[in-house]
Amino acid sequence: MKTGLRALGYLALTVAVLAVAFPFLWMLDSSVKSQLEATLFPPSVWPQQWHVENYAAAWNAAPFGRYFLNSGIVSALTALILTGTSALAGYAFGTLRFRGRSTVFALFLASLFVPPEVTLIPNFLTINFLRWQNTYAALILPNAVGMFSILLLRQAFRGLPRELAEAASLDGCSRWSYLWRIGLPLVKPMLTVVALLGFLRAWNDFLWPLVVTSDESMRTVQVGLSVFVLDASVQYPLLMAAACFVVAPILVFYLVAQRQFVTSLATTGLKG
Amino acid sequence: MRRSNRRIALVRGEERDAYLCLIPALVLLAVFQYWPVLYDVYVSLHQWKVVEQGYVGLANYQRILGDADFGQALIQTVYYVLGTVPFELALGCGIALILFEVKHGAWFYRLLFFMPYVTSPVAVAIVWRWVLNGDLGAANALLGIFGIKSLTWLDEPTGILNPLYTALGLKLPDWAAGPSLALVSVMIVTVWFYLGLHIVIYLAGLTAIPREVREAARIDGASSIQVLRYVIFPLLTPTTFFLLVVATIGAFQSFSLIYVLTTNGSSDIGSPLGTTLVATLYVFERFYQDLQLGYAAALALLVALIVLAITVLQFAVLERRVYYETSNE
Repeated sequence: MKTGLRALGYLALTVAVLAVAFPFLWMLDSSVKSQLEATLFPPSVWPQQWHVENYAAAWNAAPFGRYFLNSGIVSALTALILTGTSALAGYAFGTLRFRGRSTVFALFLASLFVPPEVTLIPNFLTINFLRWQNTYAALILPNAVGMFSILLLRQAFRGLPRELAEAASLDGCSRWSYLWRIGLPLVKPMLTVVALLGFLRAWNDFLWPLVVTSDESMRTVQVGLSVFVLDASVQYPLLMAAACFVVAPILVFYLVAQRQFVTSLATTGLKG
Repeated sequence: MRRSNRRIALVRGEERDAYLCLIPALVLLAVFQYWPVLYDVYVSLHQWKVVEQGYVGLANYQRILGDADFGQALIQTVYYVLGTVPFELALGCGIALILFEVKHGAWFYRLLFFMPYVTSPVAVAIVWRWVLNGDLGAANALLGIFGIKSLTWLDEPTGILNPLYTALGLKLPDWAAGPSLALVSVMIVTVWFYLGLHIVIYLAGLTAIPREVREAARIDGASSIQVLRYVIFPLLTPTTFFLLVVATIGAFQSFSLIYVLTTNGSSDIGSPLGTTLVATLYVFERFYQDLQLGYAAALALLVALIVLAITVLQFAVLERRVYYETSNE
């Protein structure tokens, strides 16, 4: 009875996991089929011939090199600046004592309740006003601050013993060198999480880059990919190849750092 | 003099440093989070086509009242929320319950379930367009194995209840036909995308339930079903409530996945026949295609207020049924 139930559980799980993984497998499978083979119905399960050159063809069908460069720069800098602003704010809220701390903290918390649909149009106008259309600044700065990241780092700094900062100060260590040489190295695991999440969010972001870029040379991979799919003449094997190389960097990150990804994404909730 | 005030100076210095640390984040929050809320209200009170064209008071809001297309978009949004959130919760909870009992390889299952959520909505939407393709898609091939006729999925504008009515010989107005099959397809993809997150959060909720509580119930003679019904589910209500609130907000704000699944060419958003045009897509259409910024700003604010009202309602109606443990010690 007990083992029967267990087997049933495994069966249900396996069916569910197959259903979840299927689109990814199908994406890989279709990406190496010839255009002719892709028009078969019912489709062939295993590619008759492997057309790995689809990847090169897809890469050259649109300026993907440029898109990758843009997304790489934007995601890396977003992650870097986000980590910087969050670490500084987290240090202030987590370690330092100052008048008005709870008031300022409440003000920061209020940003959690600002709905993203409301900020879209005003931010678009702000970017226009600054003449930042088609610039990296427009793509990076709005995502370079986040309350969840600040909360994570505040928590990390609060976890450090207070005596540590006091001892450092008695030894003549300034607050800045304490932060740089002692505090930040100690909260490094959390810094990594914040940077990973910032990178992931920036890499996968679609609506904002769509709105602030009109110039093809400033498009990110997601916007480039969407334009690629909306162009009805592109063949499905090439589309699948393009989808493959757009998700590949993230999936590699994910497989390497899955624990950090899963737990931190789960704690920062649904955004996106 | 300096020496005696050293302690105060130290504290002062700490205060100054603290505010210096907060400035970068605060500036960015002010420019891209706080100011936009005020500015959105300002824009919504103006005629604004690319540039400001004069104050119009509440005219944009009055226009919403007579906008049947927005009404339709709201109905479709409600379908979308009702067709995704309960399924995400139920499947997430069910799978988490099984996964929790799994001794070997649980991490592998979790890894796979969570995979859609880390990949980009644009890429997975493209893959799903291919899987659900009406002529060549894998989904239809699967139906074919079971002898079921091919469906048109994302290209099907007729309501899913239509065949039922036809079979019963009833003739009902369009609104009673339910969401289009296209919108249902979008819902399926949405549930697929967010399922992993729900599983992971439910797993965290299950881990937080003390082992002794379950064991005590079993020793007192409760069956597995009874443990589930009277112990596990009540202790999971905080998780369920949190996910309900967050997933509802998320469903109302969902954009990228729906946009890439349902846009054809560069202008046909929410196809077929606008049956997948949910509120966020409708606002985007007014804003980005028609460049009616004033009207779009008013719509965005209204949608945000509707979401707020629903969240408040969920708290008012459901929160007292949530079981919060008062003490762990």
